Amino acid sequence: MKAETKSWLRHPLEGLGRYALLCMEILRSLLGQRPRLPDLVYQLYFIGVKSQSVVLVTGAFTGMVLCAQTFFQFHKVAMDTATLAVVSVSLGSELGPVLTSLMVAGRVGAAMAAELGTMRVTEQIDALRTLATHPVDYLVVPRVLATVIALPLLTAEAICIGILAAYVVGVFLLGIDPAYSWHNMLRYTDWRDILIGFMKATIFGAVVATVSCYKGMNCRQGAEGVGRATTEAMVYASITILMSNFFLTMFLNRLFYGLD
Amino acid sequence: MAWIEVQNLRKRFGAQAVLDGVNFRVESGEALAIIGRSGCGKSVLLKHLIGLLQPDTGSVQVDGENLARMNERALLQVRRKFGMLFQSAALFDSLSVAENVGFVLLRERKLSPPEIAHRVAEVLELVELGGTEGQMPAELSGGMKKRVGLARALIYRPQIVLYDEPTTGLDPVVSDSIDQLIARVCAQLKVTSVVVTHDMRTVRRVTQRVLLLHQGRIYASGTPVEFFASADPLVNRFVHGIADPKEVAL
Ligand SMILES: Nc1ncnc2c1ncn2[C@@H]1O[C@H](COP(=O)(O)OP(=O)(O)O)[C@@H](O)[C@H]1O
Ligand SMILES: [Mg+2]
Repeated sequence: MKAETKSWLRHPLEGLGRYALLCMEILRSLLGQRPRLPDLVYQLYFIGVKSQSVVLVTGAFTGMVLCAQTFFQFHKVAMDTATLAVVSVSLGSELGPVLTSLMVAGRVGAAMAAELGTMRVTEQIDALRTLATHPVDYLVVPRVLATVIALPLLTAEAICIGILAAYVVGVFLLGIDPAYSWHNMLRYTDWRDILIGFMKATIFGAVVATVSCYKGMNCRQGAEGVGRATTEAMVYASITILMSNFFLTMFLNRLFYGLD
Repeated sequence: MAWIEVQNLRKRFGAQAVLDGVNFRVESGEALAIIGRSGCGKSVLLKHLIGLLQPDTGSVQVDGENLARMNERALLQVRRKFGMLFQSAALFDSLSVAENVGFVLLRERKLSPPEIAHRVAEVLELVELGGTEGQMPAELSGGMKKRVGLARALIYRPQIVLYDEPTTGLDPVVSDSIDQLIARVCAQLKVTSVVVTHDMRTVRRVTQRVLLLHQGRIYASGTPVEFFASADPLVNRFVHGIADPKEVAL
């Protein structure tokens, strides 16, 4: 049958369509009714606390390695004191949001997909619907909101820790001049770089939560289905983050720095 | 009082036609049983009655409203008329018994917490599980889970209650108590009931009318007494639990 041979095209398109419908339902729910505060606070707590260790380690080691590598290159041309500036700009607008989001996708996104997937295969989502509760209102919206709120904050945390770690490595291990480096860092780090980083983190937060919830809600039957939903949530969220980051960098830099 | 009418209902999953033109009507206040072999589409049919699944063609009307034409948010309102007991009980495993049972009331927030606690205790008493409020679903036995699931469905006083295999997988004594509970709910709360089962004892003790679902259609219908006396080989084999000799030979 023709429909069968075209399935390689039809399945991804159907998936995209269903994902778009889910996003629309989330928007409708956000406009229609206020999410319940306890649900939101619980999710914020879960996402924030669950991600602390991961975010600290990611921020610190990224800052450290970035500092060391930049120093090794810049030292050749006697630009030691520009090291921290490079660290802060690249952490603030690129590595901070991207790496934090990837780590959160790995931990929180996978957990969300597993949780919702399990609820689906054990008919708990159907039970919700029979109890006159829309699963998007009850399950998805608090998770999406919490991730969108938490990810920029976690990113800020990672960036701060990263700069601090870079400072320690640069000053105490590599012997760069603390006062000049710090001064240069503040001088060359534009507020727009930080703003771009924040906007990216917010968008990535929405990506992680919606993709993970979508994968959980559309999970196939059985333990295998939940396992697949979990890994797919992580993989799809990560790939979407990496690809959209390029376009966001192009777009946001044009937007904030003009076309020149 | 509420009634349900199903007309020419068809549903397929991929290439498999699960329901292939189902017609029947549930009168208000009656207790109807739907029987059939495992995997013949009983759960699928039941899920259509409450709008959890949408038919490919055909209609499901509840009090004159066609569920097949509604979106999910409109369906949520219609579902207030329904209570459903799932085959697996489908309790929310992150919530305690009290939170499960009071779920709808806690979400609506029309009653104060003490009033909700009172209603929860009352309905748990009805299903003979008084005092289990603080327990988690994982700590309960299969029969207790089904009772909690039933309490969760009954607390908001639905007009129609759907039961998906309420006694499957339970020992005979517990099954018996669940049967009694269902019969009591039908009589006391005067609800319309649809019981999906393959337990003929439940059929005989709880329901007034039986439909046999076979190959995606209603193969036979009648009272339990008529079913037990039926000469039709298929009905007869089902009622008395005898395998088809042809299938055994294979
Ligand atoms: N969501 C679904 N997707 C695909 N197939 C399904 C789905 N739900 C049920 N089926 C199929 O429909 C048939 C009937 O299932 P079901 O109604 O659960 O049977 P039962 O009569 O035992 O309750 C089964 O063969 C099952 O594989
Ligand atoms: Mg079933």
